[in-house]
Amino acid sequence: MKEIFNKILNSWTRFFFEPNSPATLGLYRIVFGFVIFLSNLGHFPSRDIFYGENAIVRFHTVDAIFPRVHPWLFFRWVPLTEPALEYYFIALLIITLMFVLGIFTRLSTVLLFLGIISLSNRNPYNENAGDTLIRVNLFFLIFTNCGAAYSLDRFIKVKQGLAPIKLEPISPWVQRLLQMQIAYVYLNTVYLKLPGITWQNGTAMYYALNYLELRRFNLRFLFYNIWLIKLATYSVLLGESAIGLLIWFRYLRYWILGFALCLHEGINLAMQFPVFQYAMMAGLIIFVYPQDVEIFVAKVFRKTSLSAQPA
Amino acid sequence: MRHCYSFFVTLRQKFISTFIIFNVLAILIAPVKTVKDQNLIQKPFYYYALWTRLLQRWNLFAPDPRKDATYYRVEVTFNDFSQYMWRRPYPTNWGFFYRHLCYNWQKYDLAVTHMEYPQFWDDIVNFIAHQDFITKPIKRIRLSKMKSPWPPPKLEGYAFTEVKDLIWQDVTVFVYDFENKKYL
Repeated sequence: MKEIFNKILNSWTRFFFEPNSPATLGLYRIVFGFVIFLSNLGHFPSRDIFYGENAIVRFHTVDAIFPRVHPWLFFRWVPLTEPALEYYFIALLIITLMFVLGIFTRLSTVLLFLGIISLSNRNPYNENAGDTLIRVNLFFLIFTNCGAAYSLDRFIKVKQGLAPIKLEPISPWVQRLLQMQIAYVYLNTVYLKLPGITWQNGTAMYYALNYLELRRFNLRFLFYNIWLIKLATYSVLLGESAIGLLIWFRYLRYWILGFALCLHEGINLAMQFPVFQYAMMAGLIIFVYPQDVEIFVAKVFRKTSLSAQPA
Repeated sequence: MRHCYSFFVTLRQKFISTFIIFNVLAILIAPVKTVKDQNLIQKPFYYYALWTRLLQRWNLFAPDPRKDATYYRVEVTFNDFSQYMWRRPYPTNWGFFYRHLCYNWQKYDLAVTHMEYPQFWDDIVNFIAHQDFITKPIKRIRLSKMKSPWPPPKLEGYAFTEVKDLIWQDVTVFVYDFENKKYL
């Protein structure tokens, strides 16, 4: 019994704490930060519609969601009137850029999380899965130094001789939490879909593709008849389960990542979910092995520096 | 010294492990039921998940996708009995900002079909009353839901029904009388 317990403990320690290169986290920070930037930029022109004084949901209407404590304790910090609201968004965009570039990365991650959660708590009805994923992943990123790779912070430290050129390994527990979060998205959605009659009889994709408010490019010809619709419905269930479960196996990981990328790009073309699909596609990066990220980045830099040289 | 260092490493790992377990439990347990039905074990996780906004349910198209086409429209009647019909923007224009404006409205529509809940009606009335197209005194505002069930997929040939073949039903959600400041 003690042996089994020790084995579990060792596996736990190895999985969460065995130091690893921060390359994956660094690349994820850049791509994920860019998705957040797009999302915040998309909110900017409609800020008064959803967050202003006379917004479609007013500040006091949201009180019902939160316990009766001071609004500041629940990060309800978004100003209601112009020009303060405009300045808030401009500041949020600047902080997002700092996060992408890795300038004061720890501080910018915390500030970005506070800015995003304040937006969410000001109007939680202007949200979907994309906003949830951004918020949750940012929360986890607070607890690690995601600027330990590919950041200006590190670049300056290396220039000053305060850090070695080779990336220093860090404890990967936050990366593991992010991986678990992404896998949970797929498994939870399958779990919630399984009791549905349309998912059981194979017609769910027919109704999903009919959502008028989600339509983008008309790809319904790909699901021409009832058999193709059934095939697509069961493939979604099977595919999402496979992503959540099989992605943990080393020899299947890149195949699964490729499949997941195609799935999200397919949804992105057929439906209006820009931010959620981008956030999920960015989330797949977190599963790429750091050694491969380092090789990839080194290749990109080599190509860039070669193309910059005169012929 | 080495012993002391490893003691703190282990302590740090224990602390982080507790944090990991707590967060995983919060994500798994907190959204199970509404807070009223939750027991003493679930409550702290729920409030923690609400505070950190870790609360999550990935339920788009679950348990079933919606089986009807819907959209909302607002009919504004002015004091001189002229009318203005307002609808939130729909994604027909593919410019970046316009697409995101539609996307934000779509999130509002999809989340809980808010416009049907009375606690949001005052906000909707106030929002409409502050729009640029309101240039005259308003008599009343009527919010209606346009609704049409999607026929089931056809078993032979092309399975889809086109939007033009739908039969729409106009359902009044509320009518607000500006003179008497009350819902009719």
